[in-house]
Amino acid sequence: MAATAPHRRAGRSPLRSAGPALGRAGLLAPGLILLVALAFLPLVAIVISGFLNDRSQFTAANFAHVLTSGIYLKLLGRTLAVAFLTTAVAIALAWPAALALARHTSPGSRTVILGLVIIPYITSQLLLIYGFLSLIQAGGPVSFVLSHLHLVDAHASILYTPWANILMLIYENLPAAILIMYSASESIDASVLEAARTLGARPWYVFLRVVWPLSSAMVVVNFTLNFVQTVGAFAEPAILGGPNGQMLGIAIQAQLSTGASQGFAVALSLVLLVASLVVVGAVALLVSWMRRAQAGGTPRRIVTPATEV
Amino acid sequence: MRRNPGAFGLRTWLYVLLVVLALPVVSMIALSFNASRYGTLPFRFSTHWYRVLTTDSALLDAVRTSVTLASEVTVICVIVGTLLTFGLHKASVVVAGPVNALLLALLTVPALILSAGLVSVFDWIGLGQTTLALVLASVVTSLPFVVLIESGRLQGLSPDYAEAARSLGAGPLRTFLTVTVPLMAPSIVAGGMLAFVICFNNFAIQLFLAPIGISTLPVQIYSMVRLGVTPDVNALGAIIVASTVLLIIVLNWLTGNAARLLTNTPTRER
Repeated sequence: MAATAPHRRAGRSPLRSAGPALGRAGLLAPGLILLVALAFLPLVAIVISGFLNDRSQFTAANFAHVLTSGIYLKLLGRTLAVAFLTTAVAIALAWPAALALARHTSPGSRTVILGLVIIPYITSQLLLIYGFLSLIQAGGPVSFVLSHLHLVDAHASILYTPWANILMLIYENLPAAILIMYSASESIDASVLEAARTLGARPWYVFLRVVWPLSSAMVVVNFTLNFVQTVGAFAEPAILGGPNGQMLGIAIQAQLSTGASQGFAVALSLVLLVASLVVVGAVALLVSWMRRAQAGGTPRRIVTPATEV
Repeated sequence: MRRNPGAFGLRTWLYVLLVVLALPVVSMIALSFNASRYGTLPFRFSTHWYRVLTTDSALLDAVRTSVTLASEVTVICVIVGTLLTFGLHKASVVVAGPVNALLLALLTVPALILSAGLVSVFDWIGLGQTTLALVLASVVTSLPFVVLIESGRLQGLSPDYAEAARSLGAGPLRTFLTVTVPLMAPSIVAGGMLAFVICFNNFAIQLFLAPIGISTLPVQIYSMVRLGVTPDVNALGAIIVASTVLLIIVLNWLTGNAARLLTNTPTRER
């Protein structure tokens, strides 16, 4: 069949052979125009309009303002720290659950569990924030139960504190972390783990020497996706965080909403984006360095024969 | 399945985490049937808030705006995304490389930062905060999901079917419409559904690009929630969660595995 196809094509007139190229361009055109105008240009705009002042003159004043202002630098540091903490904690919480889901559940219940994980994943972020707020507010279910157990005062609540914001961000990062670590855990050959165990490795050693090297690449993917999204959070700190739980996203949103200082908002966005990419790059480098350092000292015999089985 | 304490511990942790994940959603549904004005316990059953919801015109208007927006965006996304998927499949690396990089950038750059760029671009081209700007921005943020899902299916599709149709005398267009599109149908529908959800939920884009005076549902909830708890949002949330569950069941049925669909989207590119 493969031999006849080029033969048929060769018999076509030159006019028809121009067709596919034109057709291909036609297929790509609408998508390309949209992507160039509304994905490439905005990214360029983030770089350019940060350097413009109100009268469209080229200046680095916006960046000078951001980088010399104690307030914004402090906010940037806090934003990166909160995003790092919530992303790392979400992965740490999700990983054991994902291992259990991949290894110790029946296929039938796996479908149901994955469905349950997806529900918050595709539910509107604002509804989740609202649900979380009604859950933790004074007099809400959590405070009701805790105060009836005489653990806390009836009017106590973590709402409008930085912790409410942090818990919400961990919660929002969990579904993606479970889904990604599930697909990482699933791709580990069960016989590799079995081999490590029969050769006498204790659970922690199996995790450190087998599971971690085989999943660290996915951990970096997971961290990158969640961290960059969390860095841009503004609804969560604005609604739940209270005065001490602010993040840089709120400042960007406020500047953008007023419309008066767009250049400054864009400059803040660029600083935030670059800073978060630096953190992501550092984490990726650290993990790959750890992997290499470990590979040097690891008795590779544990892994190699098992994968050949 | 072997009985060992490690597996039992891991499984228990999985169930604990599932309960935690369900808590805000379950609490929202439970409180939608609670009589209290402030969403506080003790619990007294009432369907009052569902009746209030039917008269809350701001909230219902916002739902209507969101559904209209998401429907328009879905139709455009499916058409443009399907064309782009087929175009990319045949395109050379010179074209496909940068296009895939842009699609990936749209998936990773935070919506807030992308919005800042989009606001600048729409100001330059004179669209500003208009319905057209909102639709275009929503299309571009939902597009990557459609393309990634459809191209996953297209790459897995054997070219034998199309070649068989061609060698039996069908023209390129007929082959495309009667062989390739039906084979692609589940991924096209799944991509469309995901585009709808992504657009419906895209709060940051809507907050900055919606025309003044027009609120989509996330924007409306945002402005309501800052003034305190209003229990009819619970009632609406319960209805939306019920629709989400239905959607997941349909997605599972269409693609065999909704979770795989979602986990593969961000990771396949790397």
